[in-house]
Amino acid sequence: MIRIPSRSHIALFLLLVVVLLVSACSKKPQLYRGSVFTFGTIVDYSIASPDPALAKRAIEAIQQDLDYMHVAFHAWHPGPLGRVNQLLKTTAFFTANPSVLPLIKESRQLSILSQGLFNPAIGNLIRAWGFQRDLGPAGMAPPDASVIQSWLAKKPGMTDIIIKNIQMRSTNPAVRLDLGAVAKGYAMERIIQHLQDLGIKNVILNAGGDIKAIGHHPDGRPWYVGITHPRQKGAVLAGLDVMPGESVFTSGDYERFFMYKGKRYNHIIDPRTGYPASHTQSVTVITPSATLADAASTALFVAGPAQWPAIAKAMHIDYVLLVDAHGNAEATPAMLKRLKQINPTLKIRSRSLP
Amino acid sequence: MTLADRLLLFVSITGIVLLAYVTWQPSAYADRVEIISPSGRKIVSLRHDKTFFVTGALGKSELRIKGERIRFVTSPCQTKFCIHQGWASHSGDLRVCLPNKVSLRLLGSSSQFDSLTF
Repeated sequence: MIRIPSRSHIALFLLLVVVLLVSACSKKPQLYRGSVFTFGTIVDYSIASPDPALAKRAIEAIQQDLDYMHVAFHAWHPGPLGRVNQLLKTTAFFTANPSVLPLIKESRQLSILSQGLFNPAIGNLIRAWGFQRDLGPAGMAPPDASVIQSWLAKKPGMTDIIIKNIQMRSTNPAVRLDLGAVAKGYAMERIIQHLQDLGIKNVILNAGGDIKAIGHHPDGRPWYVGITHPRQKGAVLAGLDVMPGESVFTSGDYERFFMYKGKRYNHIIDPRTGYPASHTQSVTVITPSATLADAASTALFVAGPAQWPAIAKAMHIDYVLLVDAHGNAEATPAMLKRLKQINPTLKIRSRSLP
Repeated sequence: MTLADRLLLFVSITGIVLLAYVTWQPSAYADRVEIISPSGRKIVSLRHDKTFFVTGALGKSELRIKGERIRFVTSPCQTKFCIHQGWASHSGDLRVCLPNKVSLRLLGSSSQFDSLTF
């Protein structure tokens, strides 16, 4: 015999349904996606937040912070770093601008860690190659060999810089800082910190192909990213889940380069030879610090197939994927375990760190 | 209809509504469009609103990107079917102007990847 529920039971049931629906609606975070033009690139963001006003504040913070740091760290426009470069030439002590001093300190440590393969003191060499310009690659040509030989003889490096509290000097007048291989990573660290201070818990930022994420996707899964194929337009090498707080950085020869007499000259210059590193197509690294990831991807690109495991170990990078100039890929065993949906045209060799 | 029938009906409808709410997923959104024309294939981002032209077999097709969607605005074809198809907004959506040999296919790296490193 069916027992008929009373009206109060039905009313209670209806109330429960309404409460469940309302609570489900109010707590589900929304995904706010978009991009801002700043830092000389396009910065894409995906912010998962239940509060639209908070997401709006976060987007404004991304734009404002990056605009500020873009001016501070710019290698060839007038600004704080430009002033530092003028004063470094004098070889006398000066008080460094506080907006750039922490980044210079960190860059110095990372350069030593990379055994000089990440070397932000090569500003004059980068300028000689023509990569310090706002225009595109049209009309670019390699510098004369004598210019490179002259630069190599002076051997400017980050150990030429002496920092005492807030003062610094260079013992080598040929030192000219170009923080292009580390500034973006450092800036992303600062922005993520700012967003966390605002109360954002789940965000993925992509600044010109370099990624930093915290939290997870609103669906509850990890943020999932693809590693672009260095030669096949629109194709990916593989996908991987980004754990909260991780940074995924790639250095490649295909985004900034110029062609001269049929030869490709990319923007990543080997400080040992004075010429672009041509043995590698791309290097992808994963590590928590975006600053380290930025510097390490450059250092490993310069290290190339012969040396990357030694430099990765020296820089404490466990996750590395490198594609050499012939399209052969190799990765650390730890990285291989994380790669998903590997491009079927690709065979990745496992290579352990020493 | 007895009270039990009404109750059963109510529970069924509520159940369907709840199930639909819980399981509904938005269609995969797109962030790029692959444009194929007689001059070749190119990929254009949908992130930035703009209006531009693609030259087809008959002449120029006018395309508009707005709010991560794309559509044909004008076309030299006779049928104008491509224009009537309206906006394409989801990954996999296709808009084609056969007479002018211009096609638009929306790509959603976002449907698979949240972001791309390069």
